[in-house]
Amino acid sequence: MSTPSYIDERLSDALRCWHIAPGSKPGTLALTGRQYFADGDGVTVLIRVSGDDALASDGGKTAARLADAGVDVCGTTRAAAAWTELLTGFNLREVDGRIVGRRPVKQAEQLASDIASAMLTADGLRWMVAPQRESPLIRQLYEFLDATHLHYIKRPTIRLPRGSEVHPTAQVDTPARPVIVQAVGGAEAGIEHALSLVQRIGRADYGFNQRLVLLKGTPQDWPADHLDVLADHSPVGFSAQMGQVQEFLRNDAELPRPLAIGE
Amino acid sequence: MQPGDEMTDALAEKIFSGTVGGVLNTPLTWRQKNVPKKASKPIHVEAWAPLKTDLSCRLELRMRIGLDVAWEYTLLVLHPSDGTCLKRLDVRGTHRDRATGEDYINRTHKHRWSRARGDKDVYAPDDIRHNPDPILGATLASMDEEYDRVVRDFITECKMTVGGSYAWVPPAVPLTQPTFDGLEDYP
Repeated sequence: MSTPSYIDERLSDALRCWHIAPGSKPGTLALTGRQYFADGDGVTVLIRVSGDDALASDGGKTAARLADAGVDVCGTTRAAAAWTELLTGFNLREVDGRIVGRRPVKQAEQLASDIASAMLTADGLRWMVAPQRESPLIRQLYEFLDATHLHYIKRPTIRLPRGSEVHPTAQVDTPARPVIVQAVGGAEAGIEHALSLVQRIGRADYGFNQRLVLLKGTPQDWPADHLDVLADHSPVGFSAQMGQVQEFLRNDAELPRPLAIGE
Repeated sequence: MQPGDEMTDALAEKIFSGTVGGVLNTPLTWRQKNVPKKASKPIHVEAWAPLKTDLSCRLELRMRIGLDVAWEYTLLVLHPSDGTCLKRLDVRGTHRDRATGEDYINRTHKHRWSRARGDKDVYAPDDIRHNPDPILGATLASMDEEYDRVVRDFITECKMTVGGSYAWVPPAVPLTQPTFDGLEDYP
């Protein structure tokens, strides 16, 4: 069988164990059919000749798969540190989110094999994603919603007008309207996050009575200034006063402003 | 929780039964997808559009095209409430079905979801009109006609229809920044 014209002869000699297809860039080959991820998807290595060297890349597939699994390999996370270390171990590196390497053409086979091995090894970083731990407050909210037989979705995806997404604690489908709920435990940073979130979902056409921030405890447990600002943008409920929350959800009964409650 | 939030085999079967008025009636919305904090050179472009049905559950069509190999791309029907990928078409993709031992090497295949097996059930469709082989010199622009046709074939295979308000929107070719890392242009 003759070698297709788009394949550099030096590469075709070195790459006998791969299925070869053309890549998108001139002179680039897409190698596949030799190794597979745990889910069965094939590993593809892109390779081309430059001078006396072979340049190879994973096309960004590994980082994209990890990003889909919620693993950030570019930040300051443990996964990012492991990513860098394992690429160094394979004598490879990362450019623009792609695993890349450069070796003499006669080592093209080893280069392709190393890229593939690095892809498979790095894909295991997905197991470093810690399962989402639910705080006691969030567990209390879900148990409350179960008990009231209100239909709800945990951690829904709310798409904002310009394409980004937010993931509040729950979406409760009450008889009259959906309500987005953000639960906040003990930290003031949680209030700031909740404030930002309710402002953003306001842009996604969720009205004032379709938002709810649930704070732990009572109004007295929180700084009054923070409560005041929060109440300007969303109804605010408290875990010690779930009866009021139930009335708000079931019957659209107005929740009193927190300061009025605390006074 | 009520049925509709969590996908079940019965609900999945109903969605693709052709009896729930499934329709793609909105043009795709495209966005570039980069690895976090790596904005200079996108890895793929991704599109989404809602799929309307008579059911209460939300469904989305998604399309993803890798920028380094434009002839290999993926279409899927997603149930976003619980992240279930109900159908996935990998055009010219590579996959090993570990149950049957069959390898799909640069061969178009479909994944079909079930509660017991997730998306592990794979088969080769015969209703997607495209050249089955990888394409030399493929670019987003040169593949445009095929992308449009395959989206329509995929929707039809899902026993849904393409509505009058749908129109193909080509993915914008990303403007990439040059890589100054060693002045090398990796494949």
